Amino acid sequence: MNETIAGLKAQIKSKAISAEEIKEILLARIKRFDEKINCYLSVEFKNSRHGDPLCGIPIAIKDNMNIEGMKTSCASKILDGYVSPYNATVIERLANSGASFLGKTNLDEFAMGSSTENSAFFTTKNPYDLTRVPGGSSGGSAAAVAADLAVAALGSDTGGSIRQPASFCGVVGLKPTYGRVSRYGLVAFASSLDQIGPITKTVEDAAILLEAIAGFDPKDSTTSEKKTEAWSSLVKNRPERLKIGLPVEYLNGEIEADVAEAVENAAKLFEKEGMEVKQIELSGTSSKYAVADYYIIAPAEASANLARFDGVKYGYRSKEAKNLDQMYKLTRTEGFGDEVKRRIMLGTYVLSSGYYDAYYLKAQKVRRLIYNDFVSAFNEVDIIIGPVAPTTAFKIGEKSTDPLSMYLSDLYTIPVSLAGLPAISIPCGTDKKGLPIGLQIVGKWFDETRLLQIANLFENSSGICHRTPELFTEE
Amino acid sequence: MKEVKRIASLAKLSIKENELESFAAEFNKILSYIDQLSKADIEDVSPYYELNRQDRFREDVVESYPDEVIKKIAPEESDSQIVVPRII
Repeated sequence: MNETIAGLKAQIKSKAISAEEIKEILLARIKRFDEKINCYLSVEFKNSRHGDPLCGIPIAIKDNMNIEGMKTSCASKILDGYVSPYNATVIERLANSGASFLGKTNLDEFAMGSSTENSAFFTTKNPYDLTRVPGGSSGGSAAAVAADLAVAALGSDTGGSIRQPASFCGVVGLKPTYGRVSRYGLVAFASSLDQIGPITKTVEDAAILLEAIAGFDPKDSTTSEKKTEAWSSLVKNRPERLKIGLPVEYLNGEIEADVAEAVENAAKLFEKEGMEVKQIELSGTSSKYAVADYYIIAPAEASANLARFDGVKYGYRSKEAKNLDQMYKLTRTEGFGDEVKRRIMLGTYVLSSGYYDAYYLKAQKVRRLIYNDFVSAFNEVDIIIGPVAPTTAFKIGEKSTDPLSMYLSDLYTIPVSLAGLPAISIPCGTDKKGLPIGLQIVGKWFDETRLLQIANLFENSSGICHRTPELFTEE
Repeated sequence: MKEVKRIASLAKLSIKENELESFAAEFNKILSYIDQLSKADIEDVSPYYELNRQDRFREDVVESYPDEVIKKIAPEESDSQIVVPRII
């Protein structure tokens, strides 16, 4: 079942396979293989109309997006019993594009984490090495696609949650420009950063899904009215000679040698393909301060967004409470996991009386500097490339007891998120242990077209792409 | 630790007494990491705001879910009204 959306679509059209058969094959594979990696929180097939362009092909959905009539858990106990009464806009759009839904995938609780170890239910394992994490927070979606337990999936990215798991699992993960895709029906984490995007086996599939989900939505006032493009066909065009920037600081820090080498090789390949590759220097603000900046802004927004989980209207409510205040406190204390509590506390602290100027306001100023950094870089170049993460997939348990070291694993994806830029992670090799390495390609704001084209060029020219891990091949 | 208790109370959370010390230690470690922002030169820098942001207004009309939805998703309800512990 190592099939892509594009490939299956052609087979459905030629009647070589039916959507019903694809469903049966995938459900059988999930039944047989998911116990090895636990990428699904719930498997519940939902049909929509089987028409063009997605022809009934089933998509897996990260369990922080609402599908009407299905549970949304955010991998948290606090949403216990919650069944969504409505569809997220992305679900509505996928359904209108003829997709079906396969189930809901695991994540770090409320998308807070980089390994899925913060899921209240279980940790998803990396399909290439079961002792390692799949990355996070969209680890369930990335592992499902990598292990061929889904054709494609949706994830969400706040500081790297699509790109880093895609990198760890050797698949493609696209975080569109902030404002490109509606978040209506996505459970909010940090609203100035959250963005939904596809996790797929090929760049072409990412283009197909982006085309299906992107565009203005009156239900999300941050969505842009910019017109969407026919990415599913544009992706195949060879881009003109582009200037590609490789920030020197990205390869000089604490980065594994194999990862740095794979990124340097990618730069050489682009040169061979006729692109102009030049080293660039960001001012240093992004690399020095981005993670600290993010850990003020994201928790601040999260503390406000997660105030709604109070046991009143839906989800879990503590049975012990004798009055309203106790009900809030007990519900939240029993319902949230440690990392979520930590971030709510951080956010509450930085927004509390007397600290606003010292933290949040300062963080928004530093964010402006990071944004300006990329504005100047993109005056010089059309595309920026670099690593997705400083390492390949780390061991389960390796970082889970040290939150700060976990935060620092997102140092290459966070600056891009703070600037609201579109970026894609594509496989660019493996390390000595055989684990996938991801290349991060960053485009200009709303320039998903060239971003996808350059990623597609790399995929075709390098011949590096998703392969089914041995444990998951049918004998 | 008193500060941790105060923040927890603002956030409507409680941290168990026996976990307070380790929580405070972890919390302080993260705070001292984010404190490095104080070294950034932000004089005359205006705060970031969302790109292309524009205010959009919709008609002020009530949209409501059918009663069955409340019945289904509320932790406690009566006649499709959400029930909470007694306030007065």
